[in-house]
Amino acid sequence: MSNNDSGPLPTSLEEVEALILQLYAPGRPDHVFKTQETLQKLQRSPEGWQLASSLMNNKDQQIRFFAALTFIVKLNTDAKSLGEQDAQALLQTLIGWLIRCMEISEGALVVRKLCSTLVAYFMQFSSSWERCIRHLMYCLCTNEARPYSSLDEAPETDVLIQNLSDTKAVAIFWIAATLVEEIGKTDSNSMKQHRFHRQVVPNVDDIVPLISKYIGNNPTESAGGKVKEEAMKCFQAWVSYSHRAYIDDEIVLEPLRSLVKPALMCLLDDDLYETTVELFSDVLANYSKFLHKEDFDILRSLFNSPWAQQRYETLLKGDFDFDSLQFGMFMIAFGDATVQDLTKNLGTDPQCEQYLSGLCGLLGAEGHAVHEDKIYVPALEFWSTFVELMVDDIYSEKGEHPSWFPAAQALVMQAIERCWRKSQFPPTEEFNSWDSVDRTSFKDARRDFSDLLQQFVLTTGIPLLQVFIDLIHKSAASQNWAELEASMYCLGGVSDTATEDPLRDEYLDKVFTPSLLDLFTDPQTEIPRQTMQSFLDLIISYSEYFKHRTHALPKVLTFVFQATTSQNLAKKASKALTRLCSDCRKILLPELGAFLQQYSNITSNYSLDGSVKEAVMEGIASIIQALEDEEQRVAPLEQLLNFVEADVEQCLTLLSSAVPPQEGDQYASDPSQIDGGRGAMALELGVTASKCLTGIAKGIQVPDDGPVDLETKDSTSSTFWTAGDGSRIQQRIYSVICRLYDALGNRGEIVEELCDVWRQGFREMEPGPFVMPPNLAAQFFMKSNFQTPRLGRVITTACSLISSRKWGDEPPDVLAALLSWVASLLQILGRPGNDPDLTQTGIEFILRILLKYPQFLLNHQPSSSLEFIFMFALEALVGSDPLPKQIAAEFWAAFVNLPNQPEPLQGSINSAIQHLGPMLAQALVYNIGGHAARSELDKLSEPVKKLVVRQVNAKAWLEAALLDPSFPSDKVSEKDKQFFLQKIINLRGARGTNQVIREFWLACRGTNFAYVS
Amino acid sequence: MALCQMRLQEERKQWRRDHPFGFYAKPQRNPQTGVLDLKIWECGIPGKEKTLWEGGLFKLSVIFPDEYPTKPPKCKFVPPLFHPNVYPSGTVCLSILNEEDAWKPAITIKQILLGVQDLLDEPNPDSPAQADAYNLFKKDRAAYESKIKKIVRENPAP
Repeated sequence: MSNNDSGPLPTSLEEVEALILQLYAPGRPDHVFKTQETLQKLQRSPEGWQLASSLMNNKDQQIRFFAALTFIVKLNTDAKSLGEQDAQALLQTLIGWLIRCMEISEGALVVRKLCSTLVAYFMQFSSSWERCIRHLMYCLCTNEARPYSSLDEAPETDVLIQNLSDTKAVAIFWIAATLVEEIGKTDSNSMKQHRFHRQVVPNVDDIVPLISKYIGNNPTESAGGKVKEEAMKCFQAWVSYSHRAYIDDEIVLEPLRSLVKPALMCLLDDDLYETTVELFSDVLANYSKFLHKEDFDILRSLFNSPWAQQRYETLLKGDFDFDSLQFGMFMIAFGDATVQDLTKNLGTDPQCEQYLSGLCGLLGAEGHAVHEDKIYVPALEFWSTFVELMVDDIYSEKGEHPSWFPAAQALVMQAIERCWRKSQFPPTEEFNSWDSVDRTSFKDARRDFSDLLQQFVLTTGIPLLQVFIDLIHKSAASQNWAELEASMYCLGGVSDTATEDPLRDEYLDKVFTPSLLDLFTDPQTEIPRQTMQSFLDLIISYSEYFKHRTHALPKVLTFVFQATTSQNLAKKASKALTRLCSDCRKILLPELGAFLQQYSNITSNYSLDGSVKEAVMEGIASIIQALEDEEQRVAPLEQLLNFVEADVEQCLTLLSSAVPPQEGDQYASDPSQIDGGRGAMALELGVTASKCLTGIAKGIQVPDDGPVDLETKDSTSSTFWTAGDGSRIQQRIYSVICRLYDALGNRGEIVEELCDVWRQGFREMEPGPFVMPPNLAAQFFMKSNFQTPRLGRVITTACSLISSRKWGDEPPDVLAALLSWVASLLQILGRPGNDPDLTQTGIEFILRILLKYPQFLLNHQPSSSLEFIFMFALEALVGSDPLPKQIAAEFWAAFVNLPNQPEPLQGSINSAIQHLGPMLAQALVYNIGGHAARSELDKLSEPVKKLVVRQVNAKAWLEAALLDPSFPSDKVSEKDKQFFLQKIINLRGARGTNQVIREFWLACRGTNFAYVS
Repeated sequence: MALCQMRLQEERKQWRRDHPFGFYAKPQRNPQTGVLDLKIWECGIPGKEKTLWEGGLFKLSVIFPDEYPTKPPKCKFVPPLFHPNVYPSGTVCLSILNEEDAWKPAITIKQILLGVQDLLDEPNPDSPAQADAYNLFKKDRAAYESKIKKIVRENPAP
């Protein structure tokens, strides 16, 4: 045994004892760790058994504890070293020790450990110690560690139990409880293997009478609270175990069930209440089958007793101590277990109504939900289940509501009223003083309530809205902001469900009244943020409504505009604004001038976040889009661009006035660090200006849902924006883009934002201010070079340009320029591995060209550059970067699969493929032979399938590659390879190829790689 | 089919009884009939504390196939999330959600959602699903992190 780490092993018992005492004494963690290691080595050594026996009679309790622990370690790791005789002897040693413990009134620490030791023994030798509980009773009664074989001579269990002292009974309870707890932890495989249930179950006949002695119908009068509590805990452990036995083997422990009735009575005993209530809550929640019908009757009458009434009232008055809360959970568990009966008998059985009213009452305990009131959330969960049940049964009886429905609805209405109260925020200061867990959970509870409403409205239909409309009016009149907030929150929650109803608008007319709108827009009234926010949310949830009812729109928009200036509301408000403007663009046309003025006012008075400006601009631009004539759009667009340009000017002024960085300054290349915060401010302004352009571009886009006019064809060929009066706008936009790029193009954020502006134009189906001539876009892209940050993004944007449908039949010269630009970037890069991002986007660009204009790629000059491109794409295929590899696979699949082209193009394609085919096959086989990752195989299968289908030489190429010395695996034979090849060829590119490739790859990796378990 | 429904009922019950803090998960309602569709769940995943993602809440659709739990559900961020292991469509690429990889029928919805939460701050660079996030993550960690912070601000926990 190597002792290098933990020092030499002790040689005498005294030394071991000293070490044990050292272990349990306070000390430095590293010393403790070292001591522990040494002792563990001793425990695991073959002498461990002997060590434990020598220590178990030590005068020191800690050492005796260690002795028991050592027995457990040995039993768990080395039980197999014991023969049958040794095992029997060990059992007698342990029981003898337990008897001694009783005699000397050993401390609980050691006795509990010893009980665990006996359980550990059972886990190893269960088949030779089946009636372990009865055996232990026998030995403890006679104060003698008798062999198990003598159990036949023992008196009846009842006699043993009578003679067992309370202390000894406690020890038996500990062992019996630990026994089933340990068995319960066994996973189902070893449960089957050891058939533990069969060994344990007979013991139930022995433990039940013992438990019954203390908590039965005629419990021993003199017995102390302690032993009763242990009896109840033991009962709890066995009931919990019986659930497991039922799940595994459908074993029902009938004797246990006889204890239910007396155990229920223990609820009234204050000493036993906590264990008992927990036990029955668990049983009701998880295993209510365990209870007989009569048990439920007892439970019912128990809940009607004065005892329950008193506990219930204490809870409602705000006593959320553990025992009080447990009572509430117990009520809910009973409700959950009997909910079907409770509901169906509503209206016929007054007890059911009474019980459900009680559960409803739990929603109205004192105190704020979550932070103080701990029963609210569980009670709300019960009511959510209840409502779901109603929805399930909504038309269960011949298309009609079942008879209990009205009574159930009335109860839920009461529940809703209480939840509405509980959903009201406390005053802001108080709320902010809660910890974050309580704040989040409070909001979660509100959301759960909102879910309940969404369900419940299915059973009531739209009239439910009236409840909250009334509450809104009442609370608005009294300016009770918390109530108003909660009422609007509830109304907003059911917006989805109500959309289809034809009466909805009439209901909403009663919400968005002039008086409510006046209240929210009155500068004199100070309304808390949460209430403002709920009103905003309400507007957003019902934004459709304003399309039909325009009278409220101006006031609503005034409110929303104002809200954009409040830091907390700005984001939400700007989104609402975008949505309202977009939805109601036609209606809002007369307001366009006022909107532009509003924007000017708020931006000059407040510093708005870039994304807020973007959203507002988008909204205004969508109104501009609604103008009939292109000419009319020019002037308001110019106004919007004025705002953008003002930001650009400010940005450039900041940059030019900033102190230029010194030579060798570590931030020289980072403008945001220049001259304190000036650079950062300039950058932010630049980002904002770009975002605003994007916003305008999004707003001015023709909405998807507009009518498609098939008659007027000319509109698609209008040159108003590119060559007519509108070109002024395009020039200004292009100039803003270029100025920002020239000043801040070395910042990734700016490059990304500007690319976004271009994308918006590419997305457009019709001519427009952002639909610029492709050569302008190309000019912009080609400003980028190898040093440009986010160069990949620029190239991807160029890819979008190719895919956008603005190419006529005319030869797109600009593509040739772009192709040369990309090719030169790749040549500077040299190898794919140097920059996977550039590699991937570069190949993607070439792929798009290939798909759209193959002649362009194949005529690319000089021919050395073309050859470089092909080699580059091959190298990416055998590299280890996943994304370049995937796109390269796509590229090659597309190349091999090109449709037939007119001559002479087809001729050059053919000769290219003859030249590249063998290399391509080799690259693919290298991957399939084990180099690729599993997740890449599907992508790599594509070019293989295309090769097989389209190229006559495919078989020869693949064969050569499989037999080449570069093949990466030696786990497959030549025969395997031939077999694989034959399968691939026979499949002719069918989908099964992927599976064959997967299997071959697995074989190449070796079978031990099969990580699917 | 019946097995799938039974299991989902049980999952729902378990989730109600005990779910991790800040998460939500519930079956979607069919917009026409209002009936719960147990096979599509709307979930919310909060960013983990003490990570870049703290303070954010991200919406995820979990779609269960008829063969569930033999086959894993599909998890999809709505809208798609900027993350190296989330496909441009929003679908999450995670070993425990892959039938051929680490999926086991015993995996619960709670475990799935916790797994996705872990993935947020611990992307797996070996299986990239989208180029944008993956490349930024590999190339410019500072820019990646500032982008995540922005995304968290845009998706605040309520």
